[in-house]
Amino acid sequence: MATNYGGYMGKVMLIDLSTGQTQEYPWSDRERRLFLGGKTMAAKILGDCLSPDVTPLSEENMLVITTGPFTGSGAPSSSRFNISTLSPLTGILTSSNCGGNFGYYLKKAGLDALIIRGKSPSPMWLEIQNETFTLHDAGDLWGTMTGEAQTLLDAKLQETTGNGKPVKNGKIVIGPAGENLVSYASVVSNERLAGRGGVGCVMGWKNLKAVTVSGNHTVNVKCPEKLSKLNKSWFRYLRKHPLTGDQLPRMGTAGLVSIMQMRGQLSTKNYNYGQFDDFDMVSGETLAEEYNIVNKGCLSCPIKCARTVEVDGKAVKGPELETLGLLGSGILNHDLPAILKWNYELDELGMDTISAASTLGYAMEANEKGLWDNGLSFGSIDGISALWEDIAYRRGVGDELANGSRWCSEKYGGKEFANHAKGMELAAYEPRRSVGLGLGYAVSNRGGCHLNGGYMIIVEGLALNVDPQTPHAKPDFTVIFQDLMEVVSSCGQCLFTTYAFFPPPLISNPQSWYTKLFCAAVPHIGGVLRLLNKFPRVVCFHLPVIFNQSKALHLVTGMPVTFGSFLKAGKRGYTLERYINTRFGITAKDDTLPSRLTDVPQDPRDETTKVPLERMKKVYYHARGWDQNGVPTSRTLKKLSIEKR
Amino acid sequence: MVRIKLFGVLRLKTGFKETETNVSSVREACEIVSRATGWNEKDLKRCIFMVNGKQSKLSAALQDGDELVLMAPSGGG
Repeated sequence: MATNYGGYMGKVMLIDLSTGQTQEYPWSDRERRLFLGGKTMAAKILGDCLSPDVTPLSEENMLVITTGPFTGSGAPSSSRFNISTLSPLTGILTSSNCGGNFGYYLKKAGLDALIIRGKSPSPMWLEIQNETFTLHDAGDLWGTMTGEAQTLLDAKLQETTGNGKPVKNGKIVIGPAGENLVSYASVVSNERLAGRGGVGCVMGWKNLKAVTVSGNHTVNVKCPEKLSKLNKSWFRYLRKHPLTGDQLPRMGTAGLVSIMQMRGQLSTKNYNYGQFDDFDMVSGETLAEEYNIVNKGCLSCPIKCARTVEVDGKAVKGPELETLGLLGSGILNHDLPAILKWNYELDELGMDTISAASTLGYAMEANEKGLWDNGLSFGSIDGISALWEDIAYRRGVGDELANGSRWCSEKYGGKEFANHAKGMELAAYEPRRSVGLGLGYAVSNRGGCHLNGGYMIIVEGLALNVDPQTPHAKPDFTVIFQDLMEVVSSCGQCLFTTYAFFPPPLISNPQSWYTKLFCAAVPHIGGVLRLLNKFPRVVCFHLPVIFNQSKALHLVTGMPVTFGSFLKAGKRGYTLERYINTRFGITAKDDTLPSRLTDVPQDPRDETTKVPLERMKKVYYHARGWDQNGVPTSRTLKKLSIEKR
Repeated sequence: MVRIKLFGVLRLKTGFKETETNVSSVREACEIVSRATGWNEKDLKRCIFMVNGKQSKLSAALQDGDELVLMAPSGGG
């Protein structure tokens, strides 16, 4: 369906792998206005198409690959795409976001989104060129690592479509982990990953090894001159900001290890502790000083947060904070070269480093406590590389680890230290020293995700120093952060751009009176935030400089947008995802954390060093307009234009 | 002796990891690091100070055996 809005290609296509048939999926301008793109658009499609009896590994389940209106528009850090599906890890909706260039090329192929359902009778790969779909036999690709698969695909495209010349294309592939249905298998695009929630497992179950996209369409925006002017100042602002222009480009997310250590927020020994004596051996500083070759970034990104390191003489992507934390302090390992190697191996096998590492941490503790004789011990790293392969090929202990920590703890016990929420493993941040993040982990739509949880830790110790133990105002802040991240992601932009929301002086001068005043005031402004959450549209203007996204959306699409309506779109997306999850059985009882984090203080001398979850949940549900069982009320759904089913 | 350590972008920018020296306050420690690295003293005095794992002020006193960490705020994960 063609569109009157800029930033969109006006076409969503569906392919049924069981039959090989394609058809256009109806998507109107009203839906574009309400659900924008990315994860919100995908949630709307999945919510409309999936009945509650659909299971993740079934022909009815769909992979919905979406871009946003910013993708390909020239806005900073806007080359991202999203994959949503019913997760084999959690059994509920998952969304996994990825950088690289696939999103850009999907639009070059003339599509805003691609929906894949059904199951191919044999391994195939899908080529999309300018809206033309071709399914190819993937017999020779099946079994290859993600890097090799991408190289082979480039050669195939050059040979056929390119008539001997290289074809500029975007591609997604799965590795052996996806083929063998590891519950947290990822989808890989260049060196970037849609890592979380097992989207690669669903792709593997559908016998789809890869998708390539290419074409020569262009993205037309509504106000090109004004957007270009805004983009210039936006790029400049991001490059000057202490987080997006200094810390992230210099150290990437790896730079967080040391400050987390200082704040007691570095998960250590499977979340037993928040500090690791040898943290500097696996810190971002050491990585940058001794192993980093060059910084890299996605298309149109000024931040360039990725590291390139050397593994076995090859330049490969370096680890993120999560991998350093969970495979370093998390398992009491201080061997940084080993982590670099594992990170590469996990990417090549195509599985999520967070879930793999956290499940390993659980297994080590289960062994230590005598619950599961699996031969894995904290601090003992011999044979870990072989273990990754065992997981990917589902052999021995690896076959069980491939199901994630929730599954393992249900079989062997130790639920109190299986660190997941709704089945998805938590990231490397220890929430007992960041209780707002603890709430976020628990209520997050896709499970134990720090970003989908609102990432409160950024004000609870990383960038700012708001009291990390107080629950006051945290639920209201969590709602706002979640909504902002939801809508920015739905536009197709990287969430790291949202960190520039904090004015530079606030970040770069922690000793100043205004930073101290801001941090001291936060716990007391819950009421004000609640009003903003209830009536977002009162902010009927754009926030200049610090938050350009709402204005950019207006200039790209031509939609009437203000900061308030932008925030409301995020609220709509977040509540829609929740509403869909409630249809799959999610209620307040599922918004939990392992009891270690809610009942056992991290510091035995300080009772506040645990997550007061139930208390915060009540305020959070109220702020969201959900009932006490965590279900969005009819009034809330109506207010957000979400159709009740 | 007080052990002074630098983390975050401060460490990368100055190339200074740690030292042990006799100082009696955080302010004095900043002055010493500034002299050793050539780094702007004002910038050092604006960063986060942790003394023995607890956040401190520029005016905080230091004692023999203390560990002082200087670092800049971070974000993004």
